[in-house]
Amino acid sequence: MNTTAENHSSKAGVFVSDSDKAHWHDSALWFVREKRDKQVNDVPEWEKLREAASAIKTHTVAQLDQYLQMFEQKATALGAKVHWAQNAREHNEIVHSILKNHGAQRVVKSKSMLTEECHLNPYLEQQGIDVVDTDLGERIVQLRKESPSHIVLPAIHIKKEEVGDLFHQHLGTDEGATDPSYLTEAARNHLREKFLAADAGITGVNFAIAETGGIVVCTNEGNADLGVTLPRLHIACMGIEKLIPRTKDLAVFLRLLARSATGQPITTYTSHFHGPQDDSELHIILLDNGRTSLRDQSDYQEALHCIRCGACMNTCPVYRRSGGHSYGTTVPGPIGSVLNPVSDSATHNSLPFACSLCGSCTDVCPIKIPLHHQLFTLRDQIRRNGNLALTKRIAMFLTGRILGSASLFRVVGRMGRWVMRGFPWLFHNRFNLWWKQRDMPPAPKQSFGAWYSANRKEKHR
Amino acid sequence: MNSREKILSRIRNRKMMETALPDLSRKLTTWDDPIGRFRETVSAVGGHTERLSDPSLLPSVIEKLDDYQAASRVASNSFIAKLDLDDLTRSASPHSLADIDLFIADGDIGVAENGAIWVTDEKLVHNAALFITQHLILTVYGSAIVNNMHEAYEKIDPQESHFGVFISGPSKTADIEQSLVIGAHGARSLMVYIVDDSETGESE
Ligand code: SF4
Repeated sequence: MNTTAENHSSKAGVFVSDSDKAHWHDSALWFVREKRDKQVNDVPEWEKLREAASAIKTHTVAQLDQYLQMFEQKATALGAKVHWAQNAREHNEIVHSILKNHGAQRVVKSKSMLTEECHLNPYLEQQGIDVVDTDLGERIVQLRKESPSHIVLPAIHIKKEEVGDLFHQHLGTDEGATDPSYLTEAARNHLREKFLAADAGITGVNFAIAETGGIVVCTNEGNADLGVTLPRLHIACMGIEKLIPRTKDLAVFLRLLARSATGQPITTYTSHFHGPQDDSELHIILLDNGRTSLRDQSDYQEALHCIRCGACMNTCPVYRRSGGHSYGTTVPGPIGSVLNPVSDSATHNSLPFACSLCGSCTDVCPIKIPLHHQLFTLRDQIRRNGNLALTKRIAMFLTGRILGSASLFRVVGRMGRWVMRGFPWLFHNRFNLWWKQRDMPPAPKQSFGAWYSANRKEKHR
Repeated sequence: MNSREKILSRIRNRKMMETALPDLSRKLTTWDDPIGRFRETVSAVGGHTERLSDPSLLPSVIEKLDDYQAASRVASNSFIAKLDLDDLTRSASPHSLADIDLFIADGDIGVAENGAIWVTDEKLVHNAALFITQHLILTVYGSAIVNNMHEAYEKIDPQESHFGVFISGPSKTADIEQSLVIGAHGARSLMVYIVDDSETGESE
């Protein structure tokens, strides 16, 4: 069980061993966070919007059965075909059967964390279908045979030199070329061919409107739109939590989403699909895959409100310094550290501890999900389930004892100061992870308590 | 029980307290000069704007553009611009649009807070034209610029079209080291003509 407990920190250890790259990663994400702040400060009613968004989601999740049925009925009336999938396997089989019915061999897919969650690409490839990720960042990680390290910025962990080498190898760009404009142009031309040759387009869904049966997809590159306006078949894959009741609720979420995600006032393209386009078919797959059981858990159900903006990742001091792949999950960062352990606590028990409880995630979350409270609650739950690493259990037990008794605390404090002054190497050695890359000031002779009684107590009487 | 029933019954088995939907009508930011703000925002997201006092000026203005001069294929679905151009044929496959250099279409409304312009399939022969063209020109009436997204959704009804899209600026990406590159998969540039109509002057 403890094999995974070390997971995040050991993988993060590998990431930070390249100190230049780790610093670069940290500052690249902080740059996005600063862009977000600029946009957010431009909207005086930001807090009202967050409250409204949270209230809309709470309302919808409470009556999710009714809204799902309303959505299904309206979407069907518009001519879309609605499918229901309980888990990833069923989802993938539905996608495959639709493609098979159309004899579709070549598929273009825009960014969708849900299809990553379902591992749709490897499944379709096994069935002999060619799937091309068309978001530039996703195409980069696909060519590298990796997974995205961030839900909005899939290739944030990759340097332009690495992209240059990759494109030289796969797209025939000039050797050593690293200019982002040049590389993007090469990808544009390469992917245009894929769009024109595609038999079907797969997209995610950002919002689904219950009262109309419509879906909304937000992108910057235009890849989702090209992918579904050229082929005659559009498959839209969505989690059941993407529903919102009314069209006008979109205003709230669209004002929050791109500002939080990338510091843009809105994404370049915000596409609304109501039924199939002319001469085309639209299939919408509603996926559960653990969402109903998340809804059952009152401590964590607000995590269902997430609109996948990535703001909590960009701001998280642990995410920025450890990279998305350290989490070993499709959704990393603070929200991933809630979602994954809630569905599988034994595998992901290290994630809620990859957190300093600074609370920055909760502050930036546009839907006001209490992320750091949930992470804190999860830690306790992991302990109660017996999934806490032994070292942590011992440390917690001892700390609890020491902090629970004033006299013991004084004795241990005195001993500690004495040892730290006389034998610093007892602490400062390679076995103590807390001393890695850190230095401590010399221990004082006196505790604060002793100093206070000597110096201040009298004066304040 | 099929998957649909199973999912729905799992939800029904866990009753949650019903809460009200929020009232979205409280005071929201507006601008004294929404058109001015709209123009600022469009340029902040990488597009360009020009204000014209009369729709009849459009053809001559467009014909002077570098993108127009350099284009080997120009197409238009604009009713406002009244250009004597290829207006695309519905029976042709959208793949036949791959060589369009410049495409012109009409937007229904513009949004001051984010520079977005609402375009629907009712005014397009092929939806793909908006995205496959190298350069895009959109027109919008000055009287159709609203302050924010709340006002936008009061004016439009997306369910009336199979396809409708808010377009804010040209296509872009920052997926390589966060450096912004304009012209990812969609249009490499966006020019917006704000055309004064009879109502524009009186709307304030
Ligand atoms: S939890 Fe909040 S901040 Fe994090 S991705 Fe979801 S919506 Fe964004």
